[in-house]
Amino acid sequence: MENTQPSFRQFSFTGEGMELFKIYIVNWLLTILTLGMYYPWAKATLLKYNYHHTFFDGSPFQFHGTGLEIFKGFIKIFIYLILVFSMILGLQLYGNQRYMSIAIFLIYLVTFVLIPFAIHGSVRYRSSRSSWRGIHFGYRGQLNELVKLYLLGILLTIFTFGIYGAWFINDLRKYIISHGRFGNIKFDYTGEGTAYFWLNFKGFFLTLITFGIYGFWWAMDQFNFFVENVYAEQNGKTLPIRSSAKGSDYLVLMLVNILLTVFTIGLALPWVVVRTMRFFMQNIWVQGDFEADSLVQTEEAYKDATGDDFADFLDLNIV
Amino acid sequence: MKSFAIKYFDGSTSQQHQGELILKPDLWEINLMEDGVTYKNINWRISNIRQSEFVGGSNLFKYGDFPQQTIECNDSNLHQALKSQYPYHHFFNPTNSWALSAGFGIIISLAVGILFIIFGLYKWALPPIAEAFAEKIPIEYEVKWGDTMLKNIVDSENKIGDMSYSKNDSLSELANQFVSKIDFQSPYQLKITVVKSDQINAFALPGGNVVVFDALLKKLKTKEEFAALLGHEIAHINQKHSLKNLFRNLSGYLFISLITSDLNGMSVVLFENANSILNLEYSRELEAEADSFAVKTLQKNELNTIGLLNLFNILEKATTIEPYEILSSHPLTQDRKVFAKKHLIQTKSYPKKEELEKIWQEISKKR
Repeated sequence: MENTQPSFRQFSFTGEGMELFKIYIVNWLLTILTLGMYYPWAKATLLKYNYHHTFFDGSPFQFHGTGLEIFKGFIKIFIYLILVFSMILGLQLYGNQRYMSIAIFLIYLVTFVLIPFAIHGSVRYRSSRSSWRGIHFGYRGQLNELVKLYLLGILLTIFTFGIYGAWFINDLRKYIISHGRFGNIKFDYTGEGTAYFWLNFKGFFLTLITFGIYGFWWAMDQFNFFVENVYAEQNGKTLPIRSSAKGSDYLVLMLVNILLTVFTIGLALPWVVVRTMRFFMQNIWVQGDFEADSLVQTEEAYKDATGDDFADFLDLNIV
Repeated sequence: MKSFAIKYFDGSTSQQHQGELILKPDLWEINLMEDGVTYKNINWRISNIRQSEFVGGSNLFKYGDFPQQTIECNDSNLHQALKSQYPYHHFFNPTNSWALSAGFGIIISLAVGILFIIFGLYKWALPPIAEAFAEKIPIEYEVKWGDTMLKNIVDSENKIGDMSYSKNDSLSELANQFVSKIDFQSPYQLKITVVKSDQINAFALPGGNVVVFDALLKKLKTKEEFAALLGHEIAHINQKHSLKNLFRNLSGYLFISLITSDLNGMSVVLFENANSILNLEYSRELEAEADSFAVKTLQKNELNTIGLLNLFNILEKATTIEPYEILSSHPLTQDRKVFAKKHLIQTKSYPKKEELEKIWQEISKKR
C-alpha cells in the first residue's frame, strides 16, 4: 500500500460584509413596509446568500427553499400564536389566577411537546432543500422515534437535575446525524455522554475560576467535540471530520465582533455574520479520500417548512 | 457568437463536467467538452431556467424540476450579456440585484431612512392605532376585568405577590357615599374600596373600581383633597388608561419583534405579558391628563382647586420619607405642582357643600 499523507479538504465562506449589508437593508425595508409579512422571503434570501457563498472542495452549496414555502409554515405558526395569545388575554379578562396558572403551564407543556416535531420538520426541510454539485442532502429519521427519544431524554434530564442532559444531547445528535444522507454518503456520530459531561464539568469550573475568560475555550471544546465526532461514509470508506478551531482565535473573533456591534449600534451585524461564518467554515476539514465526482442523487424533495419556522419561533439552534 | 466557460452538473451524480454556454434567442446551448471536443449537447429552454439570486464572483443557474441540472459560471460578463440578450426575462431577483449593484451612498441613505421610518412609526403611528383598538373594547369587558383584578387583590385567598389587602368596610361605605355626591361625568359604575395598609397610595382599576389605602386617607385634611385624589384616579378609568397602556405596550413589543424578524421575541412577549397585565404604571402624559381632569372635576362641582395642590404637597412629603413603588411611578415633578398652582382661583368663594362636608367629617372620624 502506498504511504501517502492523509488528504484534507476544507470548507470556506466567501460572503462579503458589504454585499450582505445590502441584502439586510432590502430585507429590513421590505419587512417594515409589510409589517413583518416579508420575513419568510427575507429568511430565504439570507439562507441562499450564505449557502451560495459556502464552498467545499471548490464548489458552492445551494439552498433551494423559497420564501413561499417558508411563508406557508410561518402562517401556521402565526395562527398558533394568535390562538395562544387570545386564550391568555381571554383568561385574564374572565378567569381567576389559578386557571391562569394552569393555562400557562399547559401552553408551556404543549410548546414543549412540539419541540421534537419542530426539530424533525426543520432538519428534514433544510437538508432536502440543500445541495452541493446538484446532489441534495436528506434526512431519513422517523418522527415517532425522535419524539420518543426526545420526551424520554427530557424527562430523565429533569429528574437528574440536568445531569443527564450531556447524554441526552449526544443521543439526539447521534439520531439526527446518523439518519442524514448526502446522496449516497452516510453519516455517523460517535459522541458519548460521559466524555461530554466531563468536558462541560471542566469547562464550567475553569470558566468560573477565570471569571468567564475560559468560556471561549469551553465553547471551542464543545464545538470541536461536536464536529470531530461526525464521520462521513462514502463507498465503504470512512471520512472523519476534523476541526482546527482554537479558543484563543475564538476570543479574538468575539472581542472584535462585540466592538463592531457596540460602536455601530448593531449596523455592523452583516460583517459580524461574515466574520463568524468565515471562522467556523475555515476550521472544518474533511479527512480522507473523498470522491467528489461519485456522489449519486438518492433523496426525495420535501417542501414543508412548518417545522423550520417553528424551530425559528422557539429559537432552537439545531445545526 | 460569444460563449462562456461553465461547469455542468446533471443532477443525478456529482460528476463535474466542463463545457461552454452559448446564448441563443430562445434557448441556452450547453456543450460539454473534453480536450476541446464536444461529447454532449444539451439545450435549456429559457422559460424553465430558474433564476439565481445573486450576482457575484460566480453564478448558478438551475433547470427543470427536482433533481435539477445546474450550471456554474465564473465569468463576470455573463450578467451583462443576459441583460442585453434577454431584456424581458429576469434571471435575477429584481429587488436584490437592484440593491447589490447600488452604490454605497444610496445604501447608507436607505439605512438611515429605514431608521427614521421605524422611529416615526413607533413614536407617532403606533400609539394612536393601539388606542383606537383600546376604545373598541366594550365597557362590560373592562368591568369584568377590573372586578376580577379587585377580587384578586382585596380579601383574596390566593395571594399574588405582595398585592393583597384587607378591606375596611365602614370607610369604603362612606367613601362611596362621598363619591355619589360629586359628579365625575363617568359612564362607569364607580366603586371605592378602602383597604388597610401602611402605604401612602391609591390606584384605579379598569371598569370603575378605585382602591384607596387608609394610610393616604389619614394624611388628607380636607374634602377637596379627597375629591382631587378621586378625580385623578377616576380620570384613569374614564379615559381607559389601563387598556390603552396594555395595547400600547403589546403593540410596541409586537412591532419591534416583527420588524426585527425576531419570532422568538414574539414568544417572549407572549409569555412575559401573560402575567404583567396588572400593570398600573402610566406615562407622565397620561398622569398629566388625569391631573387636568381632576381640576375640571373640582371646578365643575364648585370645590376649591387648592385641593389638588394640597394633595401634591401631601404626596411629596410622604414620598420624601417613604418612597413607595407605585408612588414612584407618579413622579411629583415640579411641573405637576406648577400645573396645580396655575389652576388655583383663590379669589372665588365656594358654596359650603354641607352634605359632602358631613360625609368627609365622618370619614375623618373613622379613619
